[in-house]
Order: sequence, then structure tokens, then C-alpha cells
Amino acid sequence: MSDTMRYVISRIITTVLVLFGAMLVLFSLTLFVPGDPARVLLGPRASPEALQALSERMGLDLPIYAQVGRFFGNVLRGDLGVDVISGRPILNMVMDVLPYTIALTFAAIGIAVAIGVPLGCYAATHPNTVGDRITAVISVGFIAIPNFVVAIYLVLIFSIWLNWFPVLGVSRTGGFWDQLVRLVLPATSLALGWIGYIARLVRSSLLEVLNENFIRTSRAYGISENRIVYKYALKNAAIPTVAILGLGVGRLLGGAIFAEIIFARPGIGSLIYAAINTRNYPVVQAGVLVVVFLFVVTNLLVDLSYSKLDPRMSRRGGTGGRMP
Amino acid sequence: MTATLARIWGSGTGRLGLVLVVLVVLGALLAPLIAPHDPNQIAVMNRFSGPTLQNPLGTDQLGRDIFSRLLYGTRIALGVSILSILIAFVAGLLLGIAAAYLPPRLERVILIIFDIISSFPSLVLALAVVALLGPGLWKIILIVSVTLVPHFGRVARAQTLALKNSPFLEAERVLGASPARLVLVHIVPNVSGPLVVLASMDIPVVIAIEAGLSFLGVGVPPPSPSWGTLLNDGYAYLDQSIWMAVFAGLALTIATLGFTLFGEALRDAVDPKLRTEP
Amino acid sequence: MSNAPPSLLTVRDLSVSFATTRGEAKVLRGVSLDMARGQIVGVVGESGSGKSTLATALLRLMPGNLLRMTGEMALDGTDLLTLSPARMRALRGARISMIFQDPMSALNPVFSIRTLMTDVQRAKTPGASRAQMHARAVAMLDKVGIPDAAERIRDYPHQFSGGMRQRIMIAMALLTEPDLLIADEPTTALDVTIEAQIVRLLEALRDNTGVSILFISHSLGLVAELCDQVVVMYAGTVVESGPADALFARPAHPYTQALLACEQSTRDQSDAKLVVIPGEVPDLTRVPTGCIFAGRCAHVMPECRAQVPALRSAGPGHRAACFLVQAPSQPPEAAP
Repeated sequence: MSDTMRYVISRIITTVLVLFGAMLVLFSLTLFVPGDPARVLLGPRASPEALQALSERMGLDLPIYAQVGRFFGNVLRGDLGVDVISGRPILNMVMDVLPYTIALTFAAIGIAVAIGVPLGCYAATHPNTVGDRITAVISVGFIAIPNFVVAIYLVLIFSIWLNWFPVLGVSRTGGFWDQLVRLVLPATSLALGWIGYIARLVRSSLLEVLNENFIRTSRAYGISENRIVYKYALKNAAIPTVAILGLGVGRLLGGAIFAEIIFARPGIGSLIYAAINTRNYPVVQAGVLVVVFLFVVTNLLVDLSYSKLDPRMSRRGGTGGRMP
Repeated sequence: MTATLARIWGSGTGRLGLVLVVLVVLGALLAPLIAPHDPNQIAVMNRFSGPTLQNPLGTDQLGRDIFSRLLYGTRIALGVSILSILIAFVAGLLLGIAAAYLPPRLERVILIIFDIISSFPSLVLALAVVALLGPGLWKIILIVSVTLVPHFGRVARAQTLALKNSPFLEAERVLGASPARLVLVHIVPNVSGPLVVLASMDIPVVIAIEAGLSFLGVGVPPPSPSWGTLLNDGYAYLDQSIWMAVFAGLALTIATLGFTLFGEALRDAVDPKLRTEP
Repeated sequence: MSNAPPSLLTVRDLSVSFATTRGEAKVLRGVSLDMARGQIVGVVGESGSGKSTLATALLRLMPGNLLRMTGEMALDGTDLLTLSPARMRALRGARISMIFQDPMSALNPVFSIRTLMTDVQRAKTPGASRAQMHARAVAMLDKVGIPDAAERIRDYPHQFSGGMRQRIMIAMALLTEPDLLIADEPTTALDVTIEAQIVRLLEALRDNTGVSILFISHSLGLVAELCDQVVVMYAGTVVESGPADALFARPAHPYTQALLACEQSTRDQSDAKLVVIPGEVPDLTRVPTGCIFAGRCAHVMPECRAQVPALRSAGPGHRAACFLVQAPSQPPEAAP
């Protein structure tokens, strides 16, 4: 039990260190912004008084160490600043769009698991057959093609050529069904690569597990092959897969920016993108910080959830995870 | 070398990868010879043309020849990937070997720095930097290489640790070889092998990152014909002509698929133990 | 042999070969074996003798590189070789069960003992409720000597010691009341005191439930202690078989004699020079003509290299495959 606690604590400490490091990186970047940030924000025709006021409000006139302290203090209190253009707290702006991004991410992961896991199981139970080869080629194809290319091709095929899906936007007023339909294509564009990853990972870990002694034991006791593959072996194979999914959530948050722009959805990606185009760097900074935060925390949660999946971990600490 | 190529050729997907890679590399090298037009030559009267004899893949919103622009775009895609991977390779190699030889405290610092860099999804980090510092070809190369350093550094460290205490290095040490000689003559060549495989597998990733940044308008500045810029133009004018989007996407697909298949075949031929996903 | 009890397991002329990179490996060649109900039969031999292959062959749990499997194996008159895969699976666990060498790796680490033991029953007793299966599992764990079974059934395999895990495996194997239990070196991975406990447990289970046990081991001592009948295997063939007391009192085959000498020397003088059988087990991809043991035999004769000696009688129910074997001069003793 104390081993588990020690592992959890050391993981949390590393996570906090990494988050502080990421904040430091993001802060330092603002020091290199060319020109006067206040002027960049307010535009060339701003009055000197307004510039002065904004500089003070942003703490730009403070010495660097004080700016660092201010930045960290604000972030730790959950204050990401106020957007100069709309006058709204940036945290509220992020929170408004975050649910859309999270829905998109989870829809994508859901599609990837729903298709990738059965594909991987099929390939592992039919090794070196034609079906296995086809699965391998499909997987590598899905992995190789960048998701924004997939997204554009999906728009081309389904909205322009076939005219099937209402592709663009989310319906803020529409019902649940409408929301869901509009989620299909963006989520698919994000999911495709992960279908490939998951199928390959499930195949290789399942093949490895099916050679273990305890699988032979189950066979010797006459347990049906389906139960052996889909209950016994799959749970063992799920452990590395969950690790990859943790990474997946983080990466999808980053990749979601393309799906959000191409399918004109609100979300943290399109918030950052719009802020880049208006050179609204406090919003860029805050948006990126939130993405990094979600990424790091997801990874932490996945690491810790290992011990739930793999009972051995609660004894052995963090060493037994078979991350590929 | 020839044996490795033969093994890559021997696997079906490896062969496809090799063919696509050779096509892409030839396209980059021979662009001035093959391209039917100057990639930046504007012909407004002939905008949004579909594929014709004169413009094999059609023209864009300014009447520029898409085929010629895609060919020159190959140079950007390959140039950015090769340069940034080269920088990351060298930096990762040095940092990884250093981490293995430094006292544990400093090793820990290097590893934490790697963790911090990896905690940014690489596209998001590049986006943040370019958004704040402004776009530019060299900035992109530098940022992408920074995001790749931990990838090389971790493998280099692990390989060095494995080699460090191996009997043959022990023997050299006993015979009085200097530490510098040990590192240069024995560690660097032995660690570089696996890193070359990693490097080849990173090429499609970097191609996608560069195109992605250019797609978002924060990558290689126009009028350079980056595939990402072309794809974005194609997307913006989708209702006028679909050809830009179709062919820019196709070029990206050919390159990333080719390098992915080639990289995996190379890994399987050289060292299957390096399998890592994703 | 005329009024022997009806045979539970009959193996006749079983041959098994695997595809390897160096060609066809003939791992079992013409193995025959009889087992009566309620008996404990020991199979002994060095590693590579084919004894574990014999065990997995009986359950038809062969690795993917199996090339050929010929002969006869019948359980209670049911031909195991021609049974459809589905019926073979139904038979596993229900009529033949098995426990394995390494209890550390033979139990799935990510499921609790309860889940493992419930699933074993599920296929065999479809009508049983969850509570019934749970109760049966607890009772069986109790029977094999797991203390506090009702509580500990919720635990995971890694929370038990090696000996306890082997007991759990025995409990799982016996849950469905099989006729035959194959024990493939069940104590090799355990230390000596635990080994003795497991052996006593198996003996007690046989006495209480009447299950027949095929006990595979490399230790003659264990087999002598536990078994009624003994089969000695060498390089894929049976070289000697017979009642345990007769076989150990008068080992007929030079290999059995050498094996006994080895074990004696290990026991008597643990730090002095060990008696070993000179030479190596032959390469099973290139089986020599003649007696398989000829290359290492102290009494080898020219004819041993020319032809394979058949099994000859060395006493009542006692047979050995050696040209030197003669039936004992004294009349067969009366059956007890």
C-alpha cells in the first residue's frame, strides 16, 4: 500500500514540475514577442494613455521576475487574464468552448476504440491470413495520412460530392440528434489515425498475451475460445492500449484544431486559431496552457488508472506497465 | 546497405514505400526540369482551371499551375523535415549521451526537460511559438527540431546506458582509452544506428506538422508553395474548384504514406525491437 | 494382467512431431500407456524426454507448429484423437483437467480467483447460479487447504504464494470433477516442504474423490513416493514401465538404473561429485537407428545400434525396452 502511495505521489510531483516548466516556457515566449505587446493588441492608432493603461494592467512595466511571479500567481488562482478585445475573462471564453472540444475528442476516441479494437482482435485471431494483411495495410494507411487531409477529403466526399451530412458548424439551437450528426465527420477525421494505432496495438499485445501460460491454463479447463480471447486475453491486452489512449486524448486535443477549423466548429482549437489571426497573444497563451494542462493531467490519470486495470501494479508500483 | 534495401524491397509494403519515397525525392530534385511552369507565375485569366494539357493538375485562384507548385512544394516538405530532424538528431544524441554520463542529479534535470517538451503536443507547441514570435521558415525548422529532441534523446540515453558497462568498453577502459575516445569511437556510432531508424520514421510526422502549420497560415510564408498553403487555398476556394484541395491532399498522402511505409520497413529490416507506437 | 481393472486411459503407439527450423522433430515416437481408474501413474524422464508433450497431447493443446499426431488415445472408450474440436473442448475441464508447472505464470494475473473459478464452472454446469458456483468454489478452495477461503477468493493470483497458487490451480482443476487429472511437474517451481504438502494433497484428493492422476515429474523420488504405476521416458519413447515398487526395486533398463544412481548420489552426498549420465540426449530431428539410449548406455552391444529393442517383460506388468532384459526366473507373485 505504501508503495502505491509513493508511486502516486512521485507521479503527481513530476506532473506538477512539468506543468510549471510548461508555464515557464509559455511565459518566456511572451518576452520574445516582437514589438510592444500592448501596441500589438491595441493596434497602431491607440492613444498613448490607453497603451500606458494596458501596459500597467498586463504588468509589462514590472521587472521580469515580478512578471513571472504575477503570471504564476494568476494562473494558480485560475485567473487567465481578461481579453482586451471583448473585455471578458479569458477563462470564461475557454470554458465556453471547452465542452465542444471535449465532446469531439471523446467522440473520436469512441469511434477509434469501436472500430480499432475489433479490427485488432480479428487480426490477432487470424494471424498471417489475407484478412490480417489487409488490416495491417489499412492501419498503416490510416496512421500515415494527416488528419487535416482526411478532414478535407471527408468534406469533399460527403458534403460536396454526395451532399449527405450537414457538415459545417454545430447547431447551438438544434437538438441532440442534430449535434450528433454534425459530430460524425469531424470526429471521424480525428479517429482514423487512432483506429490504425489501436488495431495494431491490440493485435500485437493480444498475440503476445495469447502465448502466455495462463491462456493455456484456460484452454486446459475447457473455457471457450471466445471467452478466452474477448474476456481473458483482451483485459490483459487492454493495459498497454489504455496507455496509448491516454496519449491519444492529449494529441487529439491538439489535432482537434484542424477539425474545428475545417468543419467550422467552436472549440479550443478554433479559439486559439482566431486569437493567432488577431495577434491576441494572451488568449493564445491561455488556450495553449489549457491544452497542455488537459494533456498532462490526462496522462497522469491514465497512469494512475493502470493500478485499477492491472492488480499487480498496486504491489509493484510503476514498473510493470508494458508501454510499447 | 544493399542487404537492408533488399529486405525493404522484399516486403510488399516496404516496396510500395520505397517507390513512393523515390518518386517524392526525384520530384524535389528535378522540380525545375519537370515543372511545366514557374510555380509563382500568375495568370489571372486562367484561374480555377481544371486539369488540361497545359496545366496537368489545373490552376489555383491566381492562375498558377498546381502541378508546378506541388513539385516545388516537395522541396519545402523535404527540406524542412530533413533539416529539423538533422538538428534534433545531433542535439538528442549529445543530450542523451550526456545524460547517461552525467551525475544522476543532472541526468534528472535533462529528463525533466524532455518531459516538459513532450508535455506539449508538438503541433500545439509549434503553434504557440509561431503565433507569438511570427512565422518564418527557420523558426519552424527550429521549433520542430526542439519538439523532436526528447524522442532522440531518450533512445540515445537508453542505448548509451546499455553500452556503457558492456565488457568491450570495459576492456578499452582498462587498456587506457580516454573517455572522449570511448564516446566518439564506440558510443556515437553504436547509438546512431537506432537513431537513424527513428529519424526515418519522423519524416512523415514532420511533413505533416509543416503542412499543418502552413495550412493554419502560420507556417512557411507565401508565396512559397508549401503543400499546407496549397491545401488551405484549395479549402478556401472549394466552391470554385475542387482540384487544388484534391491534389494537394494527394501529394501529402503520397509523401506521408511513402515515408511511413519506408520507415517501418527500414525498422523491421534493421532492428525490430525499436517498435514504438505512436 | 488378465483381471486388471477396466482401463480409464489407453494410449497406443502415439507419435507426435513438430516443424522446427532444423526439420521435423519427432518428439514422441510410439508411446503406449495404460491407466486404471483411481490410479496415480507417474511419468518420469529428463527434460526433453517428451513427458510434457505427452501431457499436452492428451488434451490436444498443441502449439501451432504441430506437424503430425498419430496413434490412438482413448479416455473411457472415447477416441480423443478424432474428436471434433468443439467436443474436445467440452471434454477438457469436464473429464480431463490439468495443472501446470509454474503456478506463477499459469493463473491470469488480472482476474480474481473468484472470476477464474466461476468461469471454469460456467461452461460445464450451465444451470448453476452465481451463488451456487461461488459456494462450490469456496468449498473446493477449502478442500485443497486455502485458509480463510471465503475471504481470499476475492484476491488476485499475485497475492498468494507459489504453493498456495498451485493449490488454487488444483482446486480449479477439480471443480468440475474430472476423471483424469494431469499434473505436469506441479512441484518443480516450489521448495521442498511445499512440494511435500502438494504431493500429500494430491494423494488425499485421489483417496477422497477417486480422481486418477497422471503425475509428470523428473524426480524419481517423488514418483516412488506417490505413484502406483511408473512410466520412464527417454527421448520421446517409453523405455520402461511397471508397478512402482517392482520398478524401483529392480530397475530393468540401463537408463532407469542410471537415473536412479544419479538421484541417489544427489541425495546422499549433496556436495560431493555427482554421478551423471555421460553424453547428451539425442537430437530429435535426427533420430538414430537402433536403441535411442545406445549412445549413452554403459552396456551397449552391437545389436543395440542395429535395431530398436521392443518392450520385453521384466516381471508382472513390468516391461523394459532393452535386449538385456530377461523375465525374472521366480514365478510371478500373487496379486495382492
